[in-house]
Amino acid sequence: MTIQFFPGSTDPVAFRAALRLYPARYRRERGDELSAVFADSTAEGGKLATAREVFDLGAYGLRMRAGLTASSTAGRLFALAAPLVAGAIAGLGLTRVLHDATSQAPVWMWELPDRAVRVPFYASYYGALLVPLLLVGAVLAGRWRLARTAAGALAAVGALGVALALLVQPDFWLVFNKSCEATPQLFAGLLFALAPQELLRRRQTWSDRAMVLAAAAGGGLVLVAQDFYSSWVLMDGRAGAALVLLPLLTLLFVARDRLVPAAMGLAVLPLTLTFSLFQIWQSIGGVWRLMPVVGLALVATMLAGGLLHRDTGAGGHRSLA
Amino acid sequence: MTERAMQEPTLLLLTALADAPRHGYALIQEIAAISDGRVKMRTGTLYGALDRLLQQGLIEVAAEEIVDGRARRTYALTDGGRGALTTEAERLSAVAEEAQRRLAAVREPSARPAAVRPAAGGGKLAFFKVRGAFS
Repeated sequence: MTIQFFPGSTDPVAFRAALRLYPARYRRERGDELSAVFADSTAEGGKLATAREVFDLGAYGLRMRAGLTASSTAGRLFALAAPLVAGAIAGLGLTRVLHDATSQAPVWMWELPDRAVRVPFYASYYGALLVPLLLVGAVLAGRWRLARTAAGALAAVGALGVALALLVQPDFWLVFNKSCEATPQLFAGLLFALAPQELLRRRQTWSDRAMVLAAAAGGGLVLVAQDFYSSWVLMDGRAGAALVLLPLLTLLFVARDRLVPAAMGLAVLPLTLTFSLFQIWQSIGGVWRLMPVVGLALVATMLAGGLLHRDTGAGGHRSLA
Repeated sequence: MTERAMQEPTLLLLTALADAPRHGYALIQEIAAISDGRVKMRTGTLYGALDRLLQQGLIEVAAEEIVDGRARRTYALTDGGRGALTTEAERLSAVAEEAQRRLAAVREPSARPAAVRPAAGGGKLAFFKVRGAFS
């Protein structure tokens, strides 16, 4: 079907490009209507106003394609999980500060070979401690624009950590370890960028703040359970089983549209990578032996993606209007 | 459990539909008028909100027609949407009324309740009296 384009708009090519980002079915059903509204909205605007309209139209199309609209399961889950991830990372960071202040800091910090890389390393280390505090403060205060900026900065800090590991000692062990450490930071940046803004703009209630603080406590507990920088204990017995149960429970909650506990699981799961995936690799003794585990994790992730992509009805979850 | 306060875009959209069904561009214009030009809703944002409200059952498609060769859907409030808007309007009205009452009390010191005046050694007591006066 050809979308009719109405005269009056300043940029039909850009409109068509933005409309291409929508799923074909939506385009068929709403294309003409969107075209008419777009033409009216941009009829008297300048190039900048038209560009903003095109960007806004395209952004919603991409959200529809990715299943990240405010009414989709993934969109609602991400919006619930983003503040909790902020809390979990801040809790982990605070616990690490308290630990480092009362004991010997990790040796690698003080044995850096080159002064040129020492500053970026300190930026990465202290950024990973301080930026989450800014992020969680913004979340608790309901300052969402600041929170999104801080989450972006945190993702940059995570990427810097991995880049520095690659630069200083391109060793698989170190890079893999830093990647596991950086995953929650990158994940936080991703969640805040992808969560529908209209859901993040909600005013924080006391129960929302209490959940963020509970996530912070959870983040701290993860680090304590990991025994800070050196632990093998979590791969033994019941704790190992908990690491399998946690993702499965999270998936189950998503499937049942119980998004608050699912969001809590999603917030804490990335923090466990440093001692789950990484130490499984250590225990197994080689990257090739890790492949089945990674394969299983990928299947679980794809399953989760499939579950998240389907939209759910209005029932069974609290109103986000 | 207490209801969440409605977000401003949702409130403006439902308010724009309160007196009559409207189509997409008319909604954009109406929202700009209601918000005194402060909120200019863009096409993608508008349809994101419309899709969400349709799914939540707060609005419905009242008519689909071709006007001047243009496809046009007209949206209207459902009973649920009208109820949600009424609840939110009453909540906002109660808050505004209380704000006005308190502001008026400050503007007219003679009308201020006696308990608000600081009493020597009785600050805490005065606080509780004030709280009681508003309950």
